[in-house]
Amino acid sequence: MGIATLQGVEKRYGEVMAMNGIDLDVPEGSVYGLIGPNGAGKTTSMLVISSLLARDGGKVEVVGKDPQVEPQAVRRVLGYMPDVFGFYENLTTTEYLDFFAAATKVPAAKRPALIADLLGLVDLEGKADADVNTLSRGMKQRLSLARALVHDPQLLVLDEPASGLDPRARVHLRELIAELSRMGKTVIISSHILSELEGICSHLAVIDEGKVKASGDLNEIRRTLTANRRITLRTPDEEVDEVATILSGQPEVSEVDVERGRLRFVLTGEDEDSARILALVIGSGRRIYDWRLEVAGLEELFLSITGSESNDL
Amino acid sequence: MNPVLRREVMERFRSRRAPWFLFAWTIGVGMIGYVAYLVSQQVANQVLGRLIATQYMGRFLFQAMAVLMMTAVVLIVPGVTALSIVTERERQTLPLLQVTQLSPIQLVLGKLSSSIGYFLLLLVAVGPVVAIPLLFGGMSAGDIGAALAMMLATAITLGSVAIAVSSRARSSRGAVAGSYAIAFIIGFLSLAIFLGELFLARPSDQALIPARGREFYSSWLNPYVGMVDAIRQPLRVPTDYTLTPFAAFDAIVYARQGVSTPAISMGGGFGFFARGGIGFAEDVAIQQFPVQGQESELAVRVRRGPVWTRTLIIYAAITALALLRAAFVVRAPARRIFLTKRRRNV
Repeated sequence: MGIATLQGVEKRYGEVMAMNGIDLDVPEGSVYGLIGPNGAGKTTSMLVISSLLARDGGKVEVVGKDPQVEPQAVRRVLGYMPDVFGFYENLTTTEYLDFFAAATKVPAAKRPALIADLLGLVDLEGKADADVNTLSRGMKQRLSLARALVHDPQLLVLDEPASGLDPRARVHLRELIAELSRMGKTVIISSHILSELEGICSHLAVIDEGKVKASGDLNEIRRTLTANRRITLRTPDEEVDEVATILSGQPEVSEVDVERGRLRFVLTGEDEDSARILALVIGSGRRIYDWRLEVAGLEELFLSITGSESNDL
Repeated sequence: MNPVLRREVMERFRSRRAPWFLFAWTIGVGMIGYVAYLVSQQVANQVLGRLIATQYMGRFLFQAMAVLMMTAVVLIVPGVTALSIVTERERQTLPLLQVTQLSPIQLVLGKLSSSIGYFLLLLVAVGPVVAIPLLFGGMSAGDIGAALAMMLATAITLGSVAIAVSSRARSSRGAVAGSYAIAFIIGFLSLAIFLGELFLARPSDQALIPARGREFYSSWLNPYVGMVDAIRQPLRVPTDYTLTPFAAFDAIVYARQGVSTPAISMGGGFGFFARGGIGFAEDVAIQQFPVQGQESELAVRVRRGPVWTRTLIIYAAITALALLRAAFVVRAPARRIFLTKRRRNV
């Protein structure tokens, strides 16, 4: 049983089924990505987990508590960061964090040190006395993350945290999430821009039209969905044809293709087969400059799961 | 200290608008106080003797200030409070508060106390002006306490109603309009309804004398009537000209008790506003019907009971319902996401 579980959860907005029997099991310590197009049900799922929205059916547990029955117990261990930065007028970043620390019952004596630590964590030490409204969007997102962390929650629910950020700010945010994961936090993170989640998620759920199309360990999903893996290699130009001939003779190899000095082929076997073929080519006296297993990206996975194309992704 | 109250106070008093409003408010009250002083001086000099005149001026100024402050409650409190919840929703900070350890009632009370606190500051700021009548006499400290208590009760009631409206509103404009609509019903429409009742209850077309002892339920809701009834300051000086700012409201209080004030019995049409006095009426009633055990005007009045206690009971009920309603609306988890006009894409 994970830190957060959803079983057959349903939520309807009028005629629209935002959650149509969603099942999720978020393991403790994971970075769990929710991917799907706009309107798929990601935000609704996060609101239900965060005790902000009542479900119409199904079962939800966060640290063993039902957010609908024991919302305060859930809120003690959960930090929520919505997809927009909610700000107040005329407050400094320190005062902003102090307010939310007070609202989450952090003792007044502990707050100054806590706020200094949090500002350090999100790299905003130099902005402690800055008016919140003068911060850049990236800084606001980091401050928002610090706000979600004021009561040291076990579980963080981050709804589209990188939306609208420039590339540098995105990299910064990703590093921050990785750091939180190293600190032992469980992170549920959503995005409709798949590249944002690339490289930070350990687990994944693909949500579309209110349903989970696939979920679980990211590597498992990759393996399941991409049994045929593609390998790219680089070799001296004069040896390309000979290497291609060796590869074509292997039963696990198909679709050998030469493209701008690079060889690409599809491997139907496992990692052991890849190693054996590489040893065979090198053993034949050919030189291999680069041998790379192409990992299926989230976009590729999403398309293979949903079987559709979307410009939104 | 409630964190919401603390933050609201910081946010409100750091805004550029706050000091300017406070400045304009103080100047405005000072000017109105000065005009009231000139009017009372004019009346006193022309009609009353020196001894009575000083007390009369003190009372006139006190009553003018009380009516002015009560009007300020009706006009300012809804405006200050109406934006409290809807603004949180519009700037999308409400979910951030909902996932904290704050209970919905703490959130709502934080908002209410911030607005009431702001109004109290406005009262304190004009304290010196409002205290001027004390120099003249003609009123007791109890009168001032009663007036302030009724103002506070009215402010809490209207503030609670505004928060309930704000919690349901989809836009700031809607919240302000809704809050003012209810404040006007309580503050002014109830008075207009009473006047209608009074007119319909008259025994003949010639006078505005109401049926003796008839109850006017609309008067229970009105903060001015409640305040005038709570103060009750007989002048105890016989005079046929005791125009004070309370005269019109006073007529209401006495009419429901079966006592016709000179304001009513001697006047016709709007003439009664110019003739009549609060304490004078009571004195007349006592002097005319002093015998115990008889169905006197005074006995009728006692049976009716004061308006202000009923006003307070009604206000307490309205306040409790409004705050519970607001807390219910802002609670989470909610059945649906409450979207403002600014944001409908969730």
